[in-house]
Amino acid sequence: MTGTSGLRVLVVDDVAPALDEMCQLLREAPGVASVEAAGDALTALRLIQTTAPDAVFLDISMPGMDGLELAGLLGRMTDPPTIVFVTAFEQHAVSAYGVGAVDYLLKPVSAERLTAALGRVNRVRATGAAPAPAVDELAAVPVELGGRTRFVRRADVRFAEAQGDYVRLHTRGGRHLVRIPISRLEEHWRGVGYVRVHRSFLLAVHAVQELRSDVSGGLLAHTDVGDVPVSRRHARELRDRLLDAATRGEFDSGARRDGR
Amino acid sequence: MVGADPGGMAVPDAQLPAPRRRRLLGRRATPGAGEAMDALATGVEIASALRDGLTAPAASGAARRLRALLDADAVCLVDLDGARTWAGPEVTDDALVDEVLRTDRRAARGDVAALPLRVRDEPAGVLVVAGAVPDGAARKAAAFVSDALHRGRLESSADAAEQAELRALRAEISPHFVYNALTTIASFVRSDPARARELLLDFALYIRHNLARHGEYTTLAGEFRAVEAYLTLARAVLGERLRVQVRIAPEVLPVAIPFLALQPLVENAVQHGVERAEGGGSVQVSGEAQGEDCVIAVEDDGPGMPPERAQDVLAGRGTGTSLGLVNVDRRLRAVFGAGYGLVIETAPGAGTRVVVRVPRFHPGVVAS
Repeated sequence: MTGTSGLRVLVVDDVAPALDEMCQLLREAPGVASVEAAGDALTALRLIQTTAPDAVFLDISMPGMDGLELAGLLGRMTDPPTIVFVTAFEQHAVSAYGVGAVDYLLKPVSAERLTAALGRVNRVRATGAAPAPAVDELAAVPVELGGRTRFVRRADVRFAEAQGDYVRLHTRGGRHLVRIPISRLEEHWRGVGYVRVHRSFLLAVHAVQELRSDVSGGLLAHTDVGDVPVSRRHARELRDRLLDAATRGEFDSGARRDGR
Repeated sequence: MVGADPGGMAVPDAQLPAPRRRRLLGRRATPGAGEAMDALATGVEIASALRDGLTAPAASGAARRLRALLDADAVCLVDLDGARTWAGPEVTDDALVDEVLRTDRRAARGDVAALPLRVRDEPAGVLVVAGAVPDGAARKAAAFVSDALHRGRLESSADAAEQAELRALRAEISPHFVYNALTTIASFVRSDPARARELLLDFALYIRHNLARHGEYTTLAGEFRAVEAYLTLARAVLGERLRVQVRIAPEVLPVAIPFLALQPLVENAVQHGVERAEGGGSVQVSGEAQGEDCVIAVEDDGPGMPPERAQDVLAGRGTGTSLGLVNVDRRLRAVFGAGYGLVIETAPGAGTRVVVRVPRFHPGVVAS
């Protein structure tokens, strides 16, 4: 989301296969324009000064200057790159966030987890430049019903299902076809408790009553108006959002059972 | 039961008025019964004040009570490093204390006496008594203090042993499973590299969870993730023989539970319910809220067992992976209380269902 150019990233790791693997994953990731590699902190510093990358994926335990020390140095630059730590062992997590890293990846890294980290990098880099959230235009959606226009309240929508340029809104009161691409709907509703769980499905986090998995790849989110398939690459975000919502006690109000 | 707890001494206290009433009625009271009870209560107080040793903050209370009990000018408790806890005006006792520590015998100068304190025949410190105190009384006091120190050490070593036992009760990684998983991944490296990669990520997650030492507790979300990684690997190993369904309600995701409270139950279900069953079997894992409790169930449709066998397993008389069940049972009881152990529902030919019930909110139990 940082324009058309994409991110320019630098990977730093003293273990050669780990360095290759991370570079490979980043080259395959969407939104990454270029990937450079450094096998130690000094090479990394030189590259950062000459190429000014947007983000640095930094191994923590390295001989000589380690990742935390390098990050400390970078923190004193006027326009430092965004830092993501990559490490084999989670004992460093607290100090990693202490030096301003935006994310913390555990090796071996999955493509889904890397995508989430890149999302964070983009969000952090966009902060400040981003315009204030637009007026909440789609809190209610007009639908044609028997030749008359009615409004479906967003709060009643359990999930939306893409059908070409249309979406079908699933509510307890029924299903409504609306002319809007699901990606547009996602842009409007992402900040208000909806999450894309599949190429064709946008799901209300609060509507999930149960997650069902057969561990061979199939994951379903069960709601009171039907089950929603969750694709592998969206599973992590949904789980994180559910845990966050549950930690805030959002499933305890009984509101979702009343449909409000 | 009551006797094991110093707090239980409140019971004799409550009976104190009885002899006094008898005295009022003009009958012959048991001589000194009231004083005896008072002395007993003082003894209990001294013993509990010495629970953490001669120089802990509470020890000054013990010195004060000993001084009153002995009617001494001053009483001092000295530990092996020479640190002192005084009650009453301090007197110079360095030479006496040195002598006692060297000879392990009573030493006295004028009306100041120093007596050795011993725990299990090992020197543990010195009791110094100043004033006109009968020698016999001072010796009894020294013996009493020695006893109290001994008991305090037993209690703290029992605590340490319990902690060590809980740590040792952490489920162990099954080598059988690890090598089967690695063999399976090695095979996929050739035939399906992408799947091999996915399985390795699950293997890393499984190992990471099993090696976790940093905190005692995880969330149910974390435990379920490890369980799903395990089941994904087990399914890769066993193929179609293993059918799996995992269901979890989002409201219980943040519930705090001890690390590996669930995974051993699932491993047990796979090994007993599926691996040994002809034609394989299914394992179902679920977590949901029931009022203030979180109810987790692990169910297989394998051969099951007679209920008496299940009782033996929970009593620790089982073998192999069933020991994993005992571990979980004990750890849950230790954390949440005696009412929160495992419940096993089973019968021959009827499969096995293990139910864990934990409080959704438990003070003092926080996931790291």
